[in-house]
Amino acid sequence: MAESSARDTVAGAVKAAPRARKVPLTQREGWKQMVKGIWAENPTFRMVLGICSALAVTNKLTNTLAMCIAVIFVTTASSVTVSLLRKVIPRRVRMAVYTLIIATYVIFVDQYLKAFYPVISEAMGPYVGLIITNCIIMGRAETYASSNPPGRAFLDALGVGLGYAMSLIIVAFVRELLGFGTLFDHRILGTWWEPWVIMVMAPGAFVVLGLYIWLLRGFQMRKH
Amino acid sequence: MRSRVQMVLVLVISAAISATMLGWVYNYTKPTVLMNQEKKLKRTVLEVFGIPYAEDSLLDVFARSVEVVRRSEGTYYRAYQMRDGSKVYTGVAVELSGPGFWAPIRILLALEEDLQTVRGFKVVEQAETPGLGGRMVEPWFLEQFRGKKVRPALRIVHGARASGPNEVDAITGATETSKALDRIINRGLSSFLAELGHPSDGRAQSASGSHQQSP
Repeated sequence: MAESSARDTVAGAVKAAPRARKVPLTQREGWKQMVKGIWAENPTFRMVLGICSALAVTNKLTNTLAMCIAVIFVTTASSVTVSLLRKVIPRRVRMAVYTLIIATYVIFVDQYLKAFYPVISEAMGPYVGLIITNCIIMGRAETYASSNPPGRAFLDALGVGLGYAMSLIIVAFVRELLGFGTLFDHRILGTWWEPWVIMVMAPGAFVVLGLYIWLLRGFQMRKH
Repeated sequence: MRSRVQMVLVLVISAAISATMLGWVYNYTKPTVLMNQEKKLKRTVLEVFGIPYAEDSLLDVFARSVEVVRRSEGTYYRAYQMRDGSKVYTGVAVELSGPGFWAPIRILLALEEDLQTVRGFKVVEQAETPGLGGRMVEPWFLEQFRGKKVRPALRIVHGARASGPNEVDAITGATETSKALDRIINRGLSSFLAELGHPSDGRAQSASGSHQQSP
């Protein structure tokens, strides 16, 4: 045992050695790309993508969180898959293959939620399946994963996923608090609070999302 | 030519891989998904009858105290209680459905054995406006049905406070949902009761108690 593990370490060290020179550079770029997805190129308030789901599921934090986790999973998994297959997929059918990859992961998530989190699955209704149509995921596959190695594609997708999650959670926080007086279904505002019904419905989502985009863009502009 | 073959090949292979994986996932989760649906339905039925159960004895309690009656018009449930060593029939629950404001509404309504008094009310499925019609799943709304009379008809009262033995308060701001519920309950119940030989509306009742006469 000791012998074999020693041999592994040696072999590992030998193998890692030539890579070691390249890793820091790639990694730094990867992390930079990830931060870009959260801030400078945030999908929601910079690129205004994935708005359909941002409007639909943000009336309760619980649903929002489930949606964010699902989207982060699907984005990273499909970006890595696309990146791994980037040299095999012919250009003319790439979109069809990306859609297929994305759809596979989405149905996987949908089925998983149905089996193990039936309550959340029911609350989110058709919106899990609609992750397939979320342009953020296709966007990352097309613009980044198809021309970058899997590690960086992973970080890029993770950043964009986190950026999306940040936006949705902020919007959901405002909507649930004002619309129900609760956070994660726990009552925060007392019985004196008259819930703003509009916050729970689609128009409220438009208003909050609009204000959010305005505020964050304004903040970004000021910094420049 | 070569590129065309490659195109077709890549598409076919990726579709095959995707289909295989999804088939496997589907088969793997299928029993759990079906179990979840069954448990959810049984939980709702027990709750609408007000029969206490623990989560892990759910299926046992259901098998012991509820009989499922299937017929072409839909399924209904009969509740039993053990009294002096024998099973005593205590009430009936039926699933009623109809169009809501946005999407179909499905409810479960339980009656006492007199077939006149509401024993419980539960919403099985609805997609009404959250915060307005969607509030029909909240306990304050559901609880007020208990003990109300369904004859001559259950009334959901708008504006004024409900006072009569057959009246419940509507949901503020959700007139359409309340109206839809009113319709679903009364239409569904009258045809269900007529089928059981207990016509529910005043017209049939006044017809000198001939139980078999259905409207």
